[in-house]
Amino acid sequence: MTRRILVVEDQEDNRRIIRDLLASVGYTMIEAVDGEAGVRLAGSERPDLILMDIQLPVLDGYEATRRIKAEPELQAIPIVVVTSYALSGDDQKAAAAGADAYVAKPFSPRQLLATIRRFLPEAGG
Amino acid sequence: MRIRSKLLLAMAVPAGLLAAQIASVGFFVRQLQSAVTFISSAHAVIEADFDAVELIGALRAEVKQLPSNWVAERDRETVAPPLAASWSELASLIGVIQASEAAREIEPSVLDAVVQTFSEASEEYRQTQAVGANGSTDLNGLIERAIFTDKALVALAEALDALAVELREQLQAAVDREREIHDRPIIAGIAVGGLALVLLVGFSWLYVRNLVGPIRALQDGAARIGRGDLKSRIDVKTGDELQSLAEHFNQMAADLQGSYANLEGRVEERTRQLARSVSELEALGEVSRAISSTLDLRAVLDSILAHACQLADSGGGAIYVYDPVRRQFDLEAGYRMGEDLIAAVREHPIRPGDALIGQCAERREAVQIDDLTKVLPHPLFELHLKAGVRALLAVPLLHQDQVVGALVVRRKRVGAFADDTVRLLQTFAAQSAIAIQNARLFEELEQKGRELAAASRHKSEFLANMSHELRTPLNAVLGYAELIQDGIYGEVSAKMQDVLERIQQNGRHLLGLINAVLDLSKIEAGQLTLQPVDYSIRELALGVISGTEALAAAKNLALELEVAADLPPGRGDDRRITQVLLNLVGNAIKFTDAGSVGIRAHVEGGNFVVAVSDTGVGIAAEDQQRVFEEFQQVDSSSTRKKGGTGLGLAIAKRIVELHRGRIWVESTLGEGTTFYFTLPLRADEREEAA
Repeated sequence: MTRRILVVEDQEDNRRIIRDLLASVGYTMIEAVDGEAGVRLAGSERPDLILMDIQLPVLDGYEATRRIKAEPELQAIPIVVVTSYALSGDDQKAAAAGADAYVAKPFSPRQLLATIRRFLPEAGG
Repeated sequence: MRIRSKLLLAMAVPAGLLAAQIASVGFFVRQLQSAVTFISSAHAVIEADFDAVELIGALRAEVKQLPSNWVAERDRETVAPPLAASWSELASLIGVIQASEAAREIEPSVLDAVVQTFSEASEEYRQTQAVGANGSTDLNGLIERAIFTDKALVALAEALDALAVELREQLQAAVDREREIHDRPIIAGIAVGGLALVLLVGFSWLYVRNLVGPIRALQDGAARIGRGDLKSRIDVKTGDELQSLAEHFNQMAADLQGSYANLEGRVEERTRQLARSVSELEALGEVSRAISSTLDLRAVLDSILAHACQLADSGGGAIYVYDPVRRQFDLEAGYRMGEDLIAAVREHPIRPGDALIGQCAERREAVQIDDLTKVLPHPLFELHLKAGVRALLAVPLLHQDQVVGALVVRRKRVGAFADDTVRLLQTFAAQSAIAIQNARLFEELEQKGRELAAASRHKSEFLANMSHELRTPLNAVLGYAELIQDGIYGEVSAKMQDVLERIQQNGRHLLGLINAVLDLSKIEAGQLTLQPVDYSIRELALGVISGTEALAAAKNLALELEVAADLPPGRGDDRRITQVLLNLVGNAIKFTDAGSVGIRAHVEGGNFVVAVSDTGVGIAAEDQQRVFEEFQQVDSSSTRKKGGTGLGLAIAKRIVELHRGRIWVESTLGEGTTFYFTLPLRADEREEAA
């Protein structure tokens, strides 16, 4: 069965880039546009991986990550956080919130895909 | 009748015997005359001495007035050179003392002291005159000058006093010498001669009356005066040289008596004046020190007021500062001020024209009330009267002819304040005005500084926000370009691949610029704080080497590392230090076409000293400082050619400085460049301590 990835991202363009990228390699993408929706969908959809932006409306990426990692049934889902840029210090905060990996903006689609494959090695269409 | 004819008449027969005696009397008289010459010369010196000391008193009074004269005349274009008239007179008196007969007899060290202190005082005077001649010097400088000049004058006065004492001793010695001459057996010889002339009994009466009597009287009188009995006078009415000698003696005794009688009184008076002017100058000096050493206006005004009240012999006083917006005087400092008085001036503020303070402000001059019971009633005066105050003096504080406040002192006895006191308080008022002006300027400056800091912070915040907003769309551009390149949207021709690569390059360069601007603005806004961890400088250098290996290999450059494995661990922000190293090594590779790039590090005096060297084009000496400034790549065309933002070194410098380190460059054109930076081994502790 195809792997399902929850993408929590408020920017339409970023969502489209990720959508096109994931579709090209055969992943199924579930989309959320704010942190709260992200937490909700993580619980209801149980995705195989979550891609979490940091600057999000309603609930930011750190808090959303913390809440998902606080749920025993969801704990195992790998979360890759997209930080604002390499030296911002966001990566440390993301690790503190419980994220499994981070990708710094501007993320290159290739680089993002490589990080996803670390957690879902057998996947891809 | 002359002595010689008297003697010839009285002693015609034993003339031979008497000849010897006549000679000895002549010798005696000459001795006495020389003593009298000395004594009258010494007297002239004493007079000159006293006159000089008196003049010094006048000069000191003038010196004391310099600050208040300055206050009075500062608006004038030129100020008359101070002291000139009295000074030349003093110089001529000192000349009289030096040139006198008596001076030769005086202990050289005493006279030297006078000459020395006079030349020192002259030098002080010259300098003070120079300050005066400059016209608009500052008040505190003038006060300092006045203090020095006064000290020199005091020293001169003391030397002159010592000279007077010395002269007195010399006079005593001269008188003693005469007595010794008298004690020689001249009189006995004359008496023997008299006995020998027993036949001339009839003439001997004349002889005794006319010669022995007067000489004995002279001898006794001189001895009495010598013992200090200056009231004693010699009564010789012989009509000859003896009488004139006696008259000289009497004159001398009278002069000495007058001089000595004056001396005590003068010394006492002088000591009083001295103490007063010294304390006035000291107070002025203390206040000017206070003005220059503290910006605490309240403290300065308190000090001025306390000194003003003490020197004005006043029971209390106050300094008010004028608020031109509310048109009222606010109490700024109070000295021995009753609670009810403080409450009264707080509740009913004094306005221009109101009460004594308002009047002095309106008239821009000192105003006083010598008897409070005799003026029109005023609520404040009633309070003063109740507290026992009988006289008031108010002086305006003026700055550039504008009233900035007022100084008021109170006295519990009826009577006008002396001109001296008024002038002194005017000087204190001028100092208060300076202090108030300083405080205002300082406050203005601080306000400007706060505004500037806020403006700078706003600018940096704006830049930080803008950078973020710029990055978001740029991310999308780069993302789409890469997806197209990777063929996700369909097949891509080689030509399109090339253009897409250009889009990627330019996009990344723009992103680098935006990130660098964000970094810089964060540092300048104080938002970038170090996140210190323990790091190994060798590990950081190895990381940078492995990150740049590909770049170096592409240009056939050797990458060298010389960092000992046993260097102690450091504490600092490892990511930021890596950023600095990456920037330096990246630059080195960029600007080197052949040879090598190396990283070296060692420990020296508690710091890492890190060097990044290359064998590249080098940087001209005149450009070496500029490279650390924003957008100052040596050749602006190289920015495009070599890539880079022109901000990397500016950021590196700030990061090193945030670690309390230092960065610099050494380079020779055509040979290569070495960038050095230092990092305290434990950057975080220093930072916390700072």
